[in-house]
Amino acid sequence: MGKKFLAALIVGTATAAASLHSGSAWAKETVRVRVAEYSTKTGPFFQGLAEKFNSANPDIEVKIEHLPWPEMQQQLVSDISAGTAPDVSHMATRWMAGFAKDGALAPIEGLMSPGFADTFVPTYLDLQKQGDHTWGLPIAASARGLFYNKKLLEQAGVANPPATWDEAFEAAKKIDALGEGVYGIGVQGRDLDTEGYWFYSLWTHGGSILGPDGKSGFASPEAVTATNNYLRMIKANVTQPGVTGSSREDLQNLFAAGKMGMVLSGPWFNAQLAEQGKDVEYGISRIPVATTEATYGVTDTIAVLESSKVKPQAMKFLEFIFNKENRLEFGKLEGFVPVLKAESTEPFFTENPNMSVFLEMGSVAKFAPLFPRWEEMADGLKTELSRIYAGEVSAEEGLKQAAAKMDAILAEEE
Amino acid sequence: MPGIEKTAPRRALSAGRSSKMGLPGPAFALILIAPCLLLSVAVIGYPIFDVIRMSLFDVSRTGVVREFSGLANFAKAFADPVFLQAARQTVIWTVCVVAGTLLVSVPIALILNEDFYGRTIARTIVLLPWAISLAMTAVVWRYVVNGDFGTLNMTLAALGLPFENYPWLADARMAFLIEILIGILVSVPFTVTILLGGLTSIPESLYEASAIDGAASTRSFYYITLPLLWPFMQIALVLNVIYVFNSFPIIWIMTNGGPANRTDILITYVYKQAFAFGKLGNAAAGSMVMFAILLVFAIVYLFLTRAQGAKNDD
Repeated sequence: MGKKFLAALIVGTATAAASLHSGSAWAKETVRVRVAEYSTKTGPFFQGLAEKFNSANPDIEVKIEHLPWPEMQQQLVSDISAGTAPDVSHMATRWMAGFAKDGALAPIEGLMSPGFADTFVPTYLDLQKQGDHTWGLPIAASARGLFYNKKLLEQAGVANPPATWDEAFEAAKKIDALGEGVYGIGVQGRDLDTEGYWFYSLWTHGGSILGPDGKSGFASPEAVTATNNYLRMIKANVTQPGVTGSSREDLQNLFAAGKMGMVLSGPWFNAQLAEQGKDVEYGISRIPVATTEATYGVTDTIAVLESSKVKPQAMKFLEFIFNKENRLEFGKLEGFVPVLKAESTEPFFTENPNMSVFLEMGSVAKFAPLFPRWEEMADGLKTELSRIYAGEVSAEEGLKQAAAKMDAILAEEE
Repeated sequence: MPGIEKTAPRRALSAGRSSKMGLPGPAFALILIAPCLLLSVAVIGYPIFDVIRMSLFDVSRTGVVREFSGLANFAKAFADPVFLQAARQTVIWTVCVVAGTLLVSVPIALILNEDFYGRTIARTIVLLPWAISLAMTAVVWRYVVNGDFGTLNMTLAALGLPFENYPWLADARMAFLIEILIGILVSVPFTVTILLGGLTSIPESLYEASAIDGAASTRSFYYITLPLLWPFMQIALVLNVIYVFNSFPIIWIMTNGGPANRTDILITYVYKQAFAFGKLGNAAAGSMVMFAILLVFAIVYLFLTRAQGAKNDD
């Protein structure tokens, strides 16, 4: 027994050594690619792409790691500082500026094949540029729109989805009056994207994040009007109760349960509604306007890290995932707005009313600025919005604080 | 039991023999534990060293240590009103959770120390929250107190109370109170375990003697149980302070420090500084402040357990 075991052990070790040896004889270059999960399908989708790519490129082996979004930032920061970062990583475009500034990312304009950059919709690729360099590719892009519950609007006697904020307020009042635990319109007050929910109102009232003088636009008269636009809804009790305790998911859950008349959200919400809100008949219209038409455009970035030793191979894989066929599949899977010119004319986007509105709004999309310390500025804004929505301070006072914080950070950066 | 009795004398015998063979006792012992000691110093010491270093230097968001900046990171932290607010809230959080835990745990331990039918089941139930990860507990409670879909409001509404869609976490004071209550809930099992250990060590004969002398049960509680339990309560207190002060998941998952930073404590503040804002230097400075505070409590704990050990040796 003991001898047999020993023999087996020796044979096993020898085989393992031999296979290791033959493996190294191929001299494959391994490319570690990290993606964040938009849904449970994201990981398997990229895994599938990697398999296809690996069999077509025997000298490269792409390994996919997928992580949930909330862990991405912390994991990436720790990995870069520990020297264990992947070769390619997915990230929010607003983190990209900070990473690029600290030299963690590789500029890719020299790595791309000629003509590749021209296949992108310029708006989205331009967002990945800072200084004279391109720091990544727009792996996902979205615009936002107004989701409305058709049945609730009808019951409340509202014929058309509101086009202006005043109409939205009136509609919210009527829907809220239906009772039965139904709320007129959702206003977000906590967690991811709270500031984004405020930008909808800010931009459609003609405000801007950065004023013409290069200072914060958070406290401009337009910004105050935009904030009071939400405040009047909160004060009239036509929003969900406890705005400061409601995250984006909370609002989406209420809408999917048929308990909310209107909510502002993005194309990914279609996917959630298809699963959890089958009974909800909804439509999507443009974001209500006060003075200017606008929507919040957001992109996510996939970038090559400066520490990578296989940059050309990494770029080759990126060009593979950004070919028309693969992008289209991804767009259909996750419901994002097309980033390639060739994708934009596909019937999936142009003929589906739940997608076309986002495509149309792309032309009026505004974006958050790419400051390395934007997260801090946004957090300061979020804190003040929370105080304003709770009625602790007036819009003027709170916004003045948020603007002061942003200006202080801007001054420190110079 | 017999196993222990058999091996114990043999071990004493062999120890005696080796010292007779002339090996230098303390030095030899030190050599034997040296690998462990070195490993501990490396594993525990290096991160502390690294944090100290980062707190004194200008650090990039990716952890590249740049030039020496003296106490600039500390100055920045103390100039940040949110840091001071988080520090204040940490005191409230720690005092309320630890005091609440002790107040709840003493009666529970007393009851569980009585002999009653189903005591084992009761003890298991009290220990259960310990078996569930803190993060999971926090996630579950976040759903329970959800305004529109939570079971808490459903229950209250079913009882006819006006809580159909009361948003518990929207108001900072209410949110903090709920977090403190959950903090107490998860600290109770550990504390009860320590106190039960203490109660079993009080000899039954003391109570019998006092009963013969005609002492009422309240008197024997105040003059026998409390004084003899006090050392265990001290240890529970100090250990709880250390754990609760540093406790991250409940607050992070339920409110993320919000609304408006009103439920932030130092550990959530430090986390945001490091991983959301990329200010590793500031985060390190904040961590050092926390380390210093906890060090005081760790020393108090050492002092208490040593005093305790010395007493037991007598």
